[in-house]
Amino acid sequence: MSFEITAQLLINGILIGGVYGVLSVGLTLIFGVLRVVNFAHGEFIMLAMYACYWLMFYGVGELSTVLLVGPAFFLLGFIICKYLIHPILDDPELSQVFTTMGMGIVLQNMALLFWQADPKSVTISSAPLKIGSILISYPRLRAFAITALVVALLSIILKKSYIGKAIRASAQNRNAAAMMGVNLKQIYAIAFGTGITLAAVSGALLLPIYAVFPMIGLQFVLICFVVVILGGLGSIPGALIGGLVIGIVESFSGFLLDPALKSVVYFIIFYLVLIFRPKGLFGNI
Amino acid sequence: MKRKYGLLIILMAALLLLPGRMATAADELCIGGLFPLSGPAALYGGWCLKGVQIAVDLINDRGGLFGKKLKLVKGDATDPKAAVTEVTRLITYEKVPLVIGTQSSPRAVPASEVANRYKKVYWEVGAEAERFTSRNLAYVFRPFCCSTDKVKPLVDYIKKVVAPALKKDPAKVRIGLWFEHGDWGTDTGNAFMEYAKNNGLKIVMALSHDPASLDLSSDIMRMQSAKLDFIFTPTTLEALGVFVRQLKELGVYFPGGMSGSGTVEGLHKVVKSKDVDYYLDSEGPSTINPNFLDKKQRKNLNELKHRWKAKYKENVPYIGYLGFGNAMILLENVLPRAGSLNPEAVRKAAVKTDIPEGGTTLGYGVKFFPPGNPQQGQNSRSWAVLTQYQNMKNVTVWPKKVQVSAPWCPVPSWKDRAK
Repeated sequence: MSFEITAQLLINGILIGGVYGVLSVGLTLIFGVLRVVNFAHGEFIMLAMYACYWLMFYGVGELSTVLLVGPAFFLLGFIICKYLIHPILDDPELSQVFTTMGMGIVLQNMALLFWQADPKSVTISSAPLKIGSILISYPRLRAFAITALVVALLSIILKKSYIGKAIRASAQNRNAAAMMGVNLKQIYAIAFGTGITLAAVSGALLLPIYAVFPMIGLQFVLICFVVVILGGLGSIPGALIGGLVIGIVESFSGFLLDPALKSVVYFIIFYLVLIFRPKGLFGNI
Repeated sequence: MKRKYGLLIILMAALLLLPGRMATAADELCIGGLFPLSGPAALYGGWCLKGVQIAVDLINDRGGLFGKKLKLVKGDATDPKAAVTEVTRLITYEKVPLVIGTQSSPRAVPASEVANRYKKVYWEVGAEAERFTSRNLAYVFRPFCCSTDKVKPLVDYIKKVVAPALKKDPAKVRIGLWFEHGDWGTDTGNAFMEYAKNNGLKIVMALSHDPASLDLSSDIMRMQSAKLDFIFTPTTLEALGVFVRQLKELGVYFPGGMSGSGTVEGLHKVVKSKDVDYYLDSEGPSTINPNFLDKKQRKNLNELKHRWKAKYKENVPYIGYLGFGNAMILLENVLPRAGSLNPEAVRKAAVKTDIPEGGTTLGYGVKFFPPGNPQQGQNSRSWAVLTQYQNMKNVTVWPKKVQVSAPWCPVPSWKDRAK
């Protein structure tokens, strides 16, 4: 295998790994704090893609959509947490699974009802950047760069700000956090809202790469769970690193073995991590 | 607690006392329409159903059948299990005497078994799997082409257009196959490999893939390493969108061309640029030269285009043509000869169908293989065509007898296309 092919495979793997990372950070934050697995995560990404599509259809710039969609989805997440998630926090896990799955099915079918099944896409320039003989997809590079920035910012906020400390304390030990004066319900709503905001940001970054249709959330959600568990539940940097690992493994195994086997390879790695390090690479849960 | 149980009992009693399904109006004839309307196949199922509904509306506007209006009772075949449940509901609860469906082979195969068991005619308008009509089911009919029919014009095109354009012997053209790993993709891929091999062509690479994959770069790099001249890609529209974008991002192209299998229609909405140009599609005839059709079918075709545009504000997609054209064969030709919707009468009339080429909206004639034949119920006169995106419009390019435009071949590199 030549150097050019190896380098191209590595770049491809890093870029798709960035996409997987951006899809997963919101999910890991919600689980880390609320201990609720949001099975509707893919559908929120889908909704955000639709929101960005319609904003761009009416002339809003690409990056401006992120600034508009982010706060709107934070509010949406906040409200959903208050009225749908809070009531089930102490319920058995199966109830939580059904609630979030049900939410996902409702969102999917609402999208089908309002916007039909036809894929919708935005016009973007897809001419690649060229470094020597290596070609780099510009939309994917941008998604990776913005993801890294968002993860860095989020890590700083979680470490330095009062709300960040309260979120981390609630994730570590909710009873102790409550005894220290942390308003748990408010923190949960903020964490859920932030998780949905991250899903919205990922949707905005992915719209230039993928067409949106009601069922696209299903394509995202399976890989999200693999990345989140591999990286460690609740670990934000873990989601990005997990995404990179999966992306690079997928890229090389698809080329060297068979593209049909690439998911087999990363699932094998996933199982090995679960056996030898069940908390994931960077998790504490 | 006692109040809760009391309320529950009252609710249950109320449900039991509710009337059953709404009675059919005396001037209506109900027929079943089973299509995937939700779930992953909703896009194609929805288009197909719309085409069938327009056919029903057209017949009703022309006076209906047997002095009554037709009514399409819909069933949602979200997945194969739902297809079985829904066709059972349509037959046993809605009491439809026949079912039109389903566009999707994994759903059509089990649903048609059920219909046949109940001795109700099942009229398939879009599913292609070979095995659909190799089960000796007396009440199952498919006027549309099967997978083998779909690959015939493609193999012909490679031999007569691609090979001369590349100045190669047809046996030396390096052909790849990249198929989605489900029933349909595998079936179509196998049909292509067999037919191509029997016609002296060489498939140098065959790769399956998950159409939900978010990254196809490793697939594309494998294709680049294989130095392919031509590639056949029976996969979903969504996967094709990712495929075309990543082909350009990685600078990979195939000088002889690329072809899908009935799912390329709509690619211009996904890719939204001239990057879709040159992409071929092996599909049932839909946008053929209208001069090939007889006068009556040209009129039907215009009605379809006009009604679709008025109702949905867009041009008719390929699958919409299939739904309409294949439904019209049943509604306009078979049912009037049957004299009623009695399943046995419809079955006998279907077996006796004899329509020449040009006598249907889709261009092909209709004559079903008779009972006892291994392909009983399959239209022996169906054929497929190749369309190609040219200036972001999908036009019929092969075979020559029905082409609207000459094919564009060879395909230039991405750099040359940008000039």
